[in-house]
Amino acid sequence: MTSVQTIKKRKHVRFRRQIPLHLMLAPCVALVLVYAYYPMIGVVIAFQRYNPRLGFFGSKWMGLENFRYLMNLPNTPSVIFNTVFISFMKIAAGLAVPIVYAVLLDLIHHSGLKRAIQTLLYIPYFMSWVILGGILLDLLSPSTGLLAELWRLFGAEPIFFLANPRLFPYVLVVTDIWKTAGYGTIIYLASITAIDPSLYEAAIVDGANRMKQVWHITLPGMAPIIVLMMTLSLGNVLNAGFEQVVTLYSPIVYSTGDIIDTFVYRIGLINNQFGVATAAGLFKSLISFVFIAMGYSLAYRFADYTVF
Amino acid sequence: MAGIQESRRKPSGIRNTSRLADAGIIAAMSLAGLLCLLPIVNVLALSFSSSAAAAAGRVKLWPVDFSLESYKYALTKPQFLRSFAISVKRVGLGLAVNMACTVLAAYPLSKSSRELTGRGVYAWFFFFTMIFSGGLIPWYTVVKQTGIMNTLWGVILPGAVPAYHVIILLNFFRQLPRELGEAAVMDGAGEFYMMVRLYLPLSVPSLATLALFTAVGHWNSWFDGLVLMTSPDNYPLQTYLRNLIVVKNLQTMQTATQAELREMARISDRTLRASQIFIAALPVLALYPYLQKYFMKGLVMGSVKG
Amino acid sequence: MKKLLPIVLAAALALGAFMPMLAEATDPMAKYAETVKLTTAKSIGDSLQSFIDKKPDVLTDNIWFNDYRNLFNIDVAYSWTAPSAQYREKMNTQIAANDLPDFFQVDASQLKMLVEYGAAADLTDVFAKYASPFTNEMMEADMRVGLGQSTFGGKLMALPSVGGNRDGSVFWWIRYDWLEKLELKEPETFGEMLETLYAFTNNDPDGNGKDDTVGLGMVKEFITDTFGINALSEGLGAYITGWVGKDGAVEAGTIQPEVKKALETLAKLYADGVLDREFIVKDSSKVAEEVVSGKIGMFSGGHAQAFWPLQDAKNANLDSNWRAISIVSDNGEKPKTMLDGSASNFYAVNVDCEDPEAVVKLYNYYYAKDPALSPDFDFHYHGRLDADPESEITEYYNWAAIASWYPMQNLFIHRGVDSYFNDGDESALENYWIMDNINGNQKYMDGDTSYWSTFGWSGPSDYSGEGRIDYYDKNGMFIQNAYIGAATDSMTLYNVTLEQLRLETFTKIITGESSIDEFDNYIAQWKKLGGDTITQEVNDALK
Repeated sequence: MTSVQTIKKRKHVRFRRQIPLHLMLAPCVALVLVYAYYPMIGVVIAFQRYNPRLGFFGSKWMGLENFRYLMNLPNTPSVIFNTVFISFMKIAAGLAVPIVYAVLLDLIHHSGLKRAIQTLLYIPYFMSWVILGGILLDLLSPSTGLLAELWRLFGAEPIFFLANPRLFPYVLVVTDIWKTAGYGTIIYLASITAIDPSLYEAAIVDGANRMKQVWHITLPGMAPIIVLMMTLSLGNVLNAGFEQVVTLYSPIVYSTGDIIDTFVYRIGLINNQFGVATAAGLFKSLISFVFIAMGYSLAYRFADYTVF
Repeated sequence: MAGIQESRRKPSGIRNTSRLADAGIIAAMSLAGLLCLLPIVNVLALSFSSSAAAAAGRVKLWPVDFSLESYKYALTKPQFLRSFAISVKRVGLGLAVNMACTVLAAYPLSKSSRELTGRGVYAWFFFFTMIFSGGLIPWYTVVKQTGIMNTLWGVILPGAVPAYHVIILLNFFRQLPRELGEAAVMDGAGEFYMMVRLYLPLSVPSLATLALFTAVGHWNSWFDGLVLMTSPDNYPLQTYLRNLIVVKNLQTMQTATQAELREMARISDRTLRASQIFIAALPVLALYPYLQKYFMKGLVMGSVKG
Repeated sequence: MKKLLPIVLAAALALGAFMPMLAEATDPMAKYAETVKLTTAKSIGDSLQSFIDKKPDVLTDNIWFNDYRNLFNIDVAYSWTAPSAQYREKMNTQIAANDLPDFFQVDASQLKMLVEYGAAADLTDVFAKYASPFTNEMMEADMRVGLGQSTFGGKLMALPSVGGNRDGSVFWWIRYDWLEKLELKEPETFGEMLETLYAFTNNDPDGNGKDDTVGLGMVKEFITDTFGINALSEGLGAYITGWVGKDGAVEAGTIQPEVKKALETLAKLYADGVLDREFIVKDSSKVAEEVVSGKIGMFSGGHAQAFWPLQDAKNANLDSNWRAISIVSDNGEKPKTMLDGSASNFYAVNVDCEDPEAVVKLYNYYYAKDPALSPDFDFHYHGRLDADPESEITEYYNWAAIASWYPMQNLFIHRGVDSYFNDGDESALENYWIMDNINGNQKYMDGDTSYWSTFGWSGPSDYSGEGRIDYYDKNGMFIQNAYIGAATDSMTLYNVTLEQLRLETFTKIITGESSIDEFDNYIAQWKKLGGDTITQEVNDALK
C-alpha cells in the first residue's frame, strides 16, 4: 500500500465514523436555521423607515439614517459612557463574587449548612426588580431606612444613595450582585464537583494548607469554566440591566444612571420608529460580538484554550 | 451506580482547616444569605397581612393584622391556577426539547476538529445566534408561518437550541478524561452509545445545572407568552402575573371611566399581588435544594475510577 | 337649572328624529342581507376575566353580540384578547407585525402610527353617511373635540371613544380632618395654600407628637396631574405640557415665566422640608403608600384618585377625610385648569376591511343603548343591579365590541346625585347611571366605608372629584389647551431630548442643585434643541 492510499482510506474511515456526529447535529442545525437565521432578515429594519404594511422588502431604505439619528442625540455620548462604565463593573463583580462564593461554600464542611446558605443566596434571583425596587426604596431612605439608622448609630450623616449621581452606578452594581450572585454561583459549584478528590488527599499528605489547596487545586480545576464565563460575559459590555435601571433611576441621576436600553426605551415611547430601536439593538450585538471574539482569541492565544 | 455509592464514602473537599477560619467563613456566608432572605420575607409578610396595612406600607418583615384572605383568593382564582398548570407543562416540554438539543449539539462539538470535520463552523454557527437576532417582528412572523402560534410549541421551538447552554456543556464534556472515549472506541462502541452510556452519567452535575437554568428560564419568561398567545386563557404564569406589577400610567388615568377606575382599585391590592408572587416563586425555589443532591463532589471521578 | 341640560338635549333629540327623513334615505341601522363578518380585539379587565371563567363563551354570546347578529346581521369575533394592563404592548406588536383585525381599539400614539403606515381606513364618508342622529348629537355635545383628535389631514381616521375632556381637570386633594384639627380655613389663595402646607408639615397634624408629616407629596417624574406639579403650577397659570395663546400665536407652556414662579415656590418648599425631600426617587406606588399611611397632607390629582389611592386611605384610617378643593392663584384672578382632548382611546378600522360602515353601526348601537342620556337606554344592556356579582354575569356594557360615552357623563352623574340628595329630586333615580351612584353614596352615608370611593367620586358636594369639576364648570375655571393634535414630525424627533432636559433641569432647580436662574438657560436650550421648530410646526398646523 502506498502512503497516499493509506491516507485516503483513513480519511474515508474517519468520515464514516463522523456520520453519527453530523446526524446528531442535524436537527439542531435545522431548528436554528428556521427559527434563528431565517428571522435575521429582520435586521434590515435598522436601515429602513420600516412600514409594517410594506414589509422588509418594500419599506423605504434609509441607509445609516437611524444610526445617525441615535448618534446625534445630545445625550448619546454620556449614555454610552454610563452603559460601559456600569456594565464593566457588573461584569467584573459578576465574575468575582460568584467565584468567591463558590470557593467559600466549598470550604464549609457541614453539608446541611452549606446547602441552606446556597439556597438563601439563590432566592433574590426570583424576585422581579419591581419588588426589589420597592424594598430598596425603603431600605435606602435617608430618613426612615434601615441603612440610615445604622449610619446614625455610628454618628454619620445618612447618604441618599438613590439620589446621588456619583454613587448611583455603584448602587446598581451592589444591588445587582445581591440579586444575581447566588444564581451565578451554581455553575462554579458544578465545576468544582468535577475535580478529582484524590488531588486533595495527595495535597493533604504533602501538608498543603487550605489557602494552598484553593490556589493549587480548586481554582485550576475551575479554570476552564472561569475562562468560558469570562469570555461569554464580555458580550454584556453594553448590557447594563434595563429592568433594574428603569426601576431604580430618577431624573436626578440621569447624568450617571441613564443607559442605552432605558434611553432607547424612552425614545420608543415618543418616537414609535422600529428602525431606531433595531439600529440600537444591532449596534449592541455588533459590539458584543467583537468583545466575545476578542475574549475568544485571547483565551486561545494565551491559555491555548478553545472556548467553544 | 456502584461508582456513585463508593464516591460518597470518599473524603470530599478540603481538609486541614482551622476552626477560626471556618467560623469566619460560615459567619460571612450566613450574613450574605440572610441579606438575600429579606425580599422573600417581605413578600411573605405582605401576603399574610390585611390589605389596608399593606397599602399603608406598614408591613416590613412580619405580617400586620394577620389574614389568609389573599391565599384564599389566589388559590380559587381559575386564571391563576390555569396559568400555573400551563407553566408546569411548559417547563416539562421545554426541558425535554432544550436538554435534548443541548446534549445533541454539545456532544459532537466537544470533539476536536480532527474528530469532527467542520467543528469550528458548527460552533460559530450556533454561537452567532446567541448574539444576533432579527428582533420582534420576524420572530412573530416565523412563529405564525410555521403554524405554532397560540400553542406551547410557539414559546419553545424558537429557542429550542440554547447556544449558551451548548457552549457550557461542551466545555464540561471536554473536561472528562480522554481515555474514556478511546477505551470505548476500542470496544467498538458507537457515538450515540458513548454519549448516552458514558458521557451523560458522568455529567450529572453539569446537566443538573443546565436543567435548572432551562427550567428557570421557561418558568420566568413572560414576554413571549404575551406576544404569541391570543387569549389570556393560554398565558403562562409569569405573563399573567405581569398584570399585577405593571406600573400605573399617571398620564391616562384621568380619562378612565368609572368602571375602569373601579377595576384599577381592585387590582392594586398588594396582598393579593404578594401571595400570587410567592406561590409563583415557590416551585423554582424548591427546585434548587432538590437538585443539590446531584452536586456531590467526587461523583464524576469516583465513578470513572470505580 | 340643573335639569336644563337634559331638556335641551331632549329637544335636540326630538329634532334629530326627523333628520333622516330630511337627509338622504340611508338608514344607519339597517340590517344587512348577508352576514357581515368582523374581527376585533379586546382588552380584558380583571372582573371581565372572572365572568369569562364562569361562562367561557360569554365574550361572543352576550346581549350585545346577539343583537349585532340579530338586528344587523353582523357577526363579530375576537382575533385575540389581552389583559387590560398588557393590551397596549400586545397591540404594538400586532401593529408592527401587520397582523390586525378588522377594527380595534388603539391609543393616540398608535393611531398616529397606523395613519402613517396607511393601515387605518379613511372613515370620513362612512361616518357622514352612517352616524346616527344621536351619535351626531353626542359628537356635538363633545364640541367635536374627539372627532378632531381622530382627524388627520382633514380625514377621519378613527372613531373616538369619547370620555369627556373636563375629566382632565386638576385639583388639590387635601386632608380636611387635618385642616379642621389645626383650625385652619380652606385655602383660597396661593398664600393660604402655602400656609396650610407649612402647617401640615410643622404643626403635627396627626397629633402623634412626631415630626413625621409633610405638606406636599410628589412623584419623581412629576410633570403630571396625578401626584405631580400641576395643581400648584396651573394655579399660577403655568401650563407646562400645554400650548398657550400669546399675541395671536401659540407658544409652549413649558417656557413661560409662570413656570419659573412655580419652580421657585417648589424650591422653597423643598428647602423647608414642606415638599417631601425624598420625592426625587419615589414612584406612584410609593407616594400612594404615603398618602394611605397618613404622611402627606396635600397632593395634586384628579377624579380618579377617589378610587386610587383614597379608598385605601379610608380603609387604613377611618378618621381620614380627603376632599377635593380648587387650585388657587396668587393674583386674585380665577385660576384655570387646562383641558386636553376628550378621547384617549380610538377605534381604528383596518384599511383592508370591506365593510367599514358596519363598524359605524356598532358605534351607533352602543350610543343607542348605554350612555347616560340615550333615549333608548336599556339597563339590560348595561348590567343588572339586582344580580349577585358572585354568581351571575353582570356589567353587560363591558361586553360590547365598541364603547363610547356621553362626553359629560361623569359630570351628569354627579349632578344627578347632587340633585337627589340636596334637592330631593326623585326623578334622578330614573337614570340608571345616576341611580347606581345614588345607591353607592347612600351606602357610604349609612356607614359602609367601603363605598367611600363612590362618595369621593360623585358625592353630593363640591368636595367630591366630579363635584369639584362641576364647580370648575360653573365658575368658568377651564382653559383649553391650544394644541391637542397628534405629535408633529419634529416632536417625534426632538421630544426625547426636550423632555429629559426639562425633567432634569426642573428637578435640579427644585432640589436647589441649580439656582432658579438656570430656568433662563433652559429656555434658550429648549429653543435651540428643537423647541423653536416644534413651535413653528404647531402654529402652522393650527392655521
